[in-house]
Amino acid sequence: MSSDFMSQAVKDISFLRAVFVITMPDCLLYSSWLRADSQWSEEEVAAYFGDLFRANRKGLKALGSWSSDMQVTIEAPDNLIIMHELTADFVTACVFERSAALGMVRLHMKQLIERIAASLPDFQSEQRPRGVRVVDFLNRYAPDPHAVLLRVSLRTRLPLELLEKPETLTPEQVAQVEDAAREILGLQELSL
Amino acid sequence: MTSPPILSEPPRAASSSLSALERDSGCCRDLNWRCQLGPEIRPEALERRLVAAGYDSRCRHPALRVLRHPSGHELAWVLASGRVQIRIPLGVDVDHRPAAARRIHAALGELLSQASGPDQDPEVTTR
Amino acid sequence: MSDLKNLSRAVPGHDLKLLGSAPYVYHCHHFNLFHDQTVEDALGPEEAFEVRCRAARRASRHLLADAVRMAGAATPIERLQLAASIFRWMGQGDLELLAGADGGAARGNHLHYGFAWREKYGAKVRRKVPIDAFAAGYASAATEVAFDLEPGSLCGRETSCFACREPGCEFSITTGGEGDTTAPVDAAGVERRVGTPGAGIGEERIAAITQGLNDFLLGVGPDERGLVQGFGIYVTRHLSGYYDQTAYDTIHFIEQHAPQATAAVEGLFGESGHVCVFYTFGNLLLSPEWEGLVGPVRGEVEEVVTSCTAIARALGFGHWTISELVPGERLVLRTASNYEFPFYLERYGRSAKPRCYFFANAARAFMQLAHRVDWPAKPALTEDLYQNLFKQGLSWHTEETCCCARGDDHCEVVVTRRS
Repeated sequence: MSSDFMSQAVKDISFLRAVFVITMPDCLLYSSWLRADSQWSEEEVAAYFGDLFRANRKGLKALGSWSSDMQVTIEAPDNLIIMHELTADFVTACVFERSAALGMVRLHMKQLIERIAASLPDFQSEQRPRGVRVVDFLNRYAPDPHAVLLRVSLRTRLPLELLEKPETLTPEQVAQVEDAAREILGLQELSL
Repeated sequence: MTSPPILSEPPRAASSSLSALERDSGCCRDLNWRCQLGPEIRPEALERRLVAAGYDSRCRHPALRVLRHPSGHELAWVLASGRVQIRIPLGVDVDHRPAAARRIHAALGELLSQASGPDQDPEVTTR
Repeated sequence: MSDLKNLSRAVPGHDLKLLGSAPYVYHCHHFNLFHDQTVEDALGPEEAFEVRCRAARRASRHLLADAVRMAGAATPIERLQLAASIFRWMGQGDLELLAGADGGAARGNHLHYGFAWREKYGAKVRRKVPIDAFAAGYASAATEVAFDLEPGSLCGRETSCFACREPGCEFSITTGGEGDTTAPVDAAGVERRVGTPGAGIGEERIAAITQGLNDFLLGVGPDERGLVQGFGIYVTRHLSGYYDQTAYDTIHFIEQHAPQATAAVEGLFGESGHVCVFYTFGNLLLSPEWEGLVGPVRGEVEEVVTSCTAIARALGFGHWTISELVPGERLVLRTASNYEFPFYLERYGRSAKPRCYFFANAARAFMQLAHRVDWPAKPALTEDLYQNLFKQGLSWHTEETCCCARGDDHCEVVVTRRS
């Protein structure tokens, strides 16, 4: 999801300070838009609000009152934060100015959700080779991305030259790379 | 995302003596901050005021002062250029560092404004 | 020992530092984390923890035995207190040593590795395995020395780790270690291996700056958390035997068992040299201390390279000299002393190939800093800038053309622009 797209999606929505699209269940930043005066670390926001949403989802399921269109509203001193489940794999957290009227914010949220959800990738129909997607995922989310392929090479013992052409990896090699990616990111599974 | 560098305007009374607060380079995020003292500030007088405010002098090099506050933060001050680096302790959570820097910056401004107010410290000169 | 500075001294003429008779250097958390991460990538987390813990115990035991002797610390409690003080002086954090001759526990607060990992990576990665192997090894060594136990008789294990989002760091110290008869690489070993110090381009400037930095570093001490900040940078005074043993044991393992991954492991240990120069050297150059002691950086290539050479000397990396410098084209650094090859020769004997990974890659990073950073603009040396400088392929090729570990009488690294 490009920054141009996000800029278009938030067009004409007043009082909006930021939008974060977060992958679930790994709570990683997928895309974001921040107003020029905002100074937040997008990755941190994604991690913490993703965690919050996941806990909320589990809590509601434990109560038997979960539904996929639920919305979490946080009224902080400076900000009004609304989180909404876009699909099973994505949630969005939108930060509005605290002075915005709640009714107006809900209306804007509805517009935003429609615009963003329509552009999210459908994981089922993804056609690219899995090895390519794993390497893309690492490049996007791993710390020190410039060195991540070397790290995978060392962990898997696969030559760097091979990893630089992930479309040529055998299924066994892809599984090795995926294991390395999970270990590097500390994840149980990769949301590919 | 690149954050805007200027986070706070200096307190009005000291605006001629202290520049706005900006992020400075450092080994960790938002740990080091930069501001600039006006050329009229006399090092000995300000240092005395800082020590009176609880700062402890860690380095008294002819070109440099490094002072540490009991709360853990430091001021490193280049005498020739008036550059001051405010150093937030590593133990302060990253989210709270900008606010901590703003508080220290404001306190420094307050100290300078006292020095240039009606009861002007005779050792602080203004041009 | 009332003043731990008395423990610290230099190898004359070589810009190497000793704590007692244990060699040490200054390194920041960016280097330390990347170095240890490479050991983990190569060996897996459990084996890596063992290797790191063993190296820490061996290097620390050597240091602590010296310190106890020099301080005349006779009782176990005096020795344990001394060990905790040294740990803080090193900038490793606050370590409570609670074990007896039969083992026991240790507890850490603000431990350098765990604390720094959480600071740097905590928002991005969920860590599942403890990271404070150095503290675990140090705690074992301190307990062994306190109770006059045989080297390697105790084992340290971290049972709770701040980096894993646990509230603090806890260690168990248990008996039943395998023992350790390997001799340390100490001051005598280093002095036996270093060659004749030379001089090079900009020697007068480099020597003057080094002296100024060394004088300043004498006044740097730990804060109340046991962390050391100098020049606005948090650093450790770390035992170079720890770096050397972990790096070379890891590289040798890969060379023997997975030779196809040798380039990767060497590349990653080299990368930690880039990390060090960018964050530590770069931030030092931008610090108020530098501006006060030396003056603001103008950004000329020769100025940046001579400055970096002086910093390397002051941090205890050896008496590096500039043999050739052609801006935009070529840098040749030489040294007859660094913290890598003396350890290699003492521990493993002569190598068939060059072994100064840090030296070779730090030199390359000097050229990156000298040519690609806009110093007068006072840039923030952030991770984004680092990725920008080092991600799209380096503009410089580096090669260690002579190496004392290979039998040459000096080490030489040649950095040239990639065509």
